[in-house]
Amino acid sequence: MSPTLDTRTALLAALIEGESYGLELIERVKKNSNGALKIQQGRVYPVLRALEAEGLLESYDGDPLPERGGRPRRYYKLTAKGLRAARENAKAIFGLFAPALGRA
Amino acid sequence: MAKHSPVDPKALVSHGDVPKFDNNAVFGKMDDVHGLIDHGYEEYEHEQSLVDDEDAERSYEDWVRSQSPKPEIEAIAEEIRMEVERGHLIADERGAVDTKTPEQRARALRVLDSLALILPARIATEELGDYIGDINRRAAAGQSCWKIYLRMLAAMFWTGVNAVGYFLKEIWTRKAA
Repeated sequence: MSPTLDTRTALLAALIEGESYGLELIERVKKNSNGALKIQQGRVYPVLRALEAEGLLESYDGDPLPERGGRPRRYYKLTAKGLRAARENAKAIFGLFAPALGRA
Repeated sequence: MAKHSPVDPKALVSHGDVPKFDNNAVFGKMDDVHGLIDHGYEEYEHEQSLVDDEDAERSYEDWVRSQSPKPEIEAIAEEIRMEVERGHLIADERGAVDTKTPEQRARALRVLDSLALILPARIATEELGDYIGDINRRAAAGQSCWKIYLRMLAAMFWTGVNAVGYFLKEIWTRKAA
C-alpha cells in the first residue's frame, strides 16, 4: 500500500526547499519521498492557486521558454505565513508518527 | 537518409533575429523542414567525403553558414529558427535535432495550442506550458508516440477540468461580491 499525504501539505513541504514551478514540485515531492508519493499533475495547479489565494504562497512569471512553446514558467515561493504553516505541518506529522518511528 | 542531422538549432538561432511565428507555415512545412535538413546534411556529408585533409573538415554548422546565401540552406536555418522559437523543434543531448517523433509531437502541440485559445490565460500559460515542456522532454528522451499522445490527452483532460473549476470559482467570487 502506498503512503498518502494530501497535495496541499506535500506542496508546502516541497516549497520549504525553495521556489519552484508545478512540474518541478511534483518531481521534488517524488524524490524527497523516495518515490513513495506521486502527485497527479492536474491536481497540483488548483492547489497552488488556492494556497496563493490564502496568502501562503506568492508567484511570478519567469522568462518565456522555447521548450514550453514560448510560455513562461510560473514560479511559486512560500510567504512568511506559508513557511509557518509548512513548519507547523511538519511538526504535527512528525509528532503523529514519532511512536511509529520509535522516538519520544 | 540521415536520422539525426547534427544541427544545433540554438547556434543557428543566435544568427540574426528570430522571425515572427507563422502558425500555419510551421505546421504545414514540418515535413519540408526535415526533408531540407536531411538533404542539406547529405550534401554536407558528400562534400566532407571528398576532403582528404582532416584539418579542412568543418562542422555541419560551419558548413551551413558557409553555404549562405544558398536559398535552400537559408530556408533550413529560417525554418529551424521558427520552430525552435515555438518549441516544436528541440535538440537532443548531442545537440542534434530529434527526428524520431517530430510529426507526433507537432500534432500534439498543435492540438494543445488550439486548446489554449479557449482556456483562461493563466491555465493556458502555466499548466499547458508545463505539459508542453513535458511532451518535448519525453520526445527528446525518445519516448514512443503513443506516450506523447497519452500525455496530450492528459493535458486536455486536466486543463479542461481545471478551467471549469476556475470559471466556477470566478462566478462564485463575483456573486459573493
